Amino acid sequence: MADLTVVTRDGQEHIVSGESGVPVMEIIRNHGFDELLALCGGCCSCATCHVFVDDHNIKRLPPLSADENDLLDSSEHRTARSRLSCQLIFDDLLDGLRVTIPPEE
Amino acid sequence: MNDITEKIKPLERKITRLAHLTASQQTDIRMIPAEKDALNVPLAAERPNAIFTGQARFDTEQEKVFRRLPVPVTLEAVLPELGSVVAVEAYGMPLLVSRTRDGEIKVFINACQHKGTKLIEDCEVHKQGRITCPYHAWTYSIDGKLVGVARADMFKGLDKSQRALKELPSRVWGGVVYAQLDGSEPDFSNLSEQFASDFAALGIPSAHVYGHKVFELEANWKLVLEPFLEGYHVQRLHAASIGDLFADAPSIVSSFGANIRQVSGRIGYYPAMLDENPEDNIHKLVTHAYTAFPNLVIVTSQYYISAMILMPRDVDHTTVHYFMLTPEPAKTPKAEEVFQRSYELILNVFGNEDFRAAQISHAGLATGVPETTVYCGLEENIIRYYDAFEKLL
Repeated sequence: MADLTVVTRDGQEHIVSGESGVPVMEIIRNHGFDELLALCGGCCSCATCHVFVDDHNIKRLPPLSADENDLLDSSEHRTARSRLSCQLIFDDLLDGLRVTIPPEE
Repeated sequence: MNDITEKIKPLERKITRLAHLTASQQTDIRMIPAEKDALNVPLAAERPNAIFTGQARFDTEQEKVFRRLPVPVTLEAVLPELGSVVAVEAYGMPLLVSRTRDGEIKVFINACQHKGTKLIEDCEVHKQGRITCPYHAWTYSIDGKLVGVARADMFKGLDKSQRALKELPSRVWGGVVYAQLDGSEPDFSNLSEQFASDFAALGIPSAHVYGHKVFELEANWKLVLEPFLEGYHVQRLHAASIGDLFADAPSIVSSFGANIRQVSGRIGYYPAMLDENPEDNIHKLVTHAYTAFPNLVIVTSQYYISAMILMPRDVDHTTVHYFMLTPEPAKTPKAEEVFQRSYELILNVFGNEDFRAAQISHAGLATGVPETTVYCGLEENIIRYYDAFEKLL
């Protein structure tokens, strides 16, 4: 188990513990945050699990796939820190990862 | 097009002045005689009952016009913001109309390329950069590209680039979104360039949609159109509402193929009024009524514009999309009150008077009586329009 920090839309920080091998999207949802819709169930097809990852973490993550890139392009809030949280498999090496839920579209 | 029109920022305009209008509109307005000098000429014209009640005629109109030529589906004013999309039921077809982030208007069939599922089921405007299918969560960007397929690994050989939303050829014409429903190469030659300029001068492309209401009418679409082409009924059908505001109007008519522009003086009009106060709202003095090919009606009022798309659904069924357009959203409680009262009044006048007239006419005509409808000199524009429209059949 390692720590994941989730910043919700009201600016509140929440520290939760995340299991290795589980997508960040599922950890967020399992802890009851309903701001992340994740309509497609976590298979990189809808972009409703979009998060901003803190600058110092972004290099620790696996690279963007072409599909993820296309989906993020459809978001008006996309930044250089944007990722789909269903594509980020959590593990101990990511301890301290901090993600922010973007404004609603 | 009048140069002055180009220079006016749409949002700064609260009223339309004579100088805002196109040269062609101004010329016609200057030709309107005083009410006392109005000259109307008697006319003898008829049409067979079957043009309203005959299935064969309806089918021919569908085949030769509504499915073969571009038709209006909505107004671009419905989508003022970049990155927004709305579902429109147009002529029985589920469509999506979007404004991309580049500001371009696009028209698609509202059907997922997986199993045809309607992607958006309501008629609200959605400000969003993508559309996710409610069934299996296939996701499209609002320019139509398929950007996400759930469990794409389970499809053998699926090429996402081949499954973009089906786009229909379309064009925005004076603020009106026209689309080619059969998907073939569109022929825009029946639309009037002059109308596109006139509509821009009236502020239609940049207007605010104050209200949008859909009417399902039990009447042939031409019976719904007729009252907007003649002044004969105004003092009579509208006796209890707005009839006293309009004379058997001295009006000037210009036609551009099957596109008819009428401009008439309001009650007590005389030409010198135009120059008494050039800063004044021109629509206090005159009323514009347009029939744009093939089924779009625009009528101006003092503080708003009515736009109506009359969509034929069956020989005796028409869906009317009514839009009340204002130059901007109400910014004060007083403006809101004026808009609200206007909206109620116009829905009553059109809904309970003009549309009711169309339905009770259809009910009688459906019995075969009369064998022909008959038109007088105050209804000449109907004949002018039918003559042009019938050339296409």
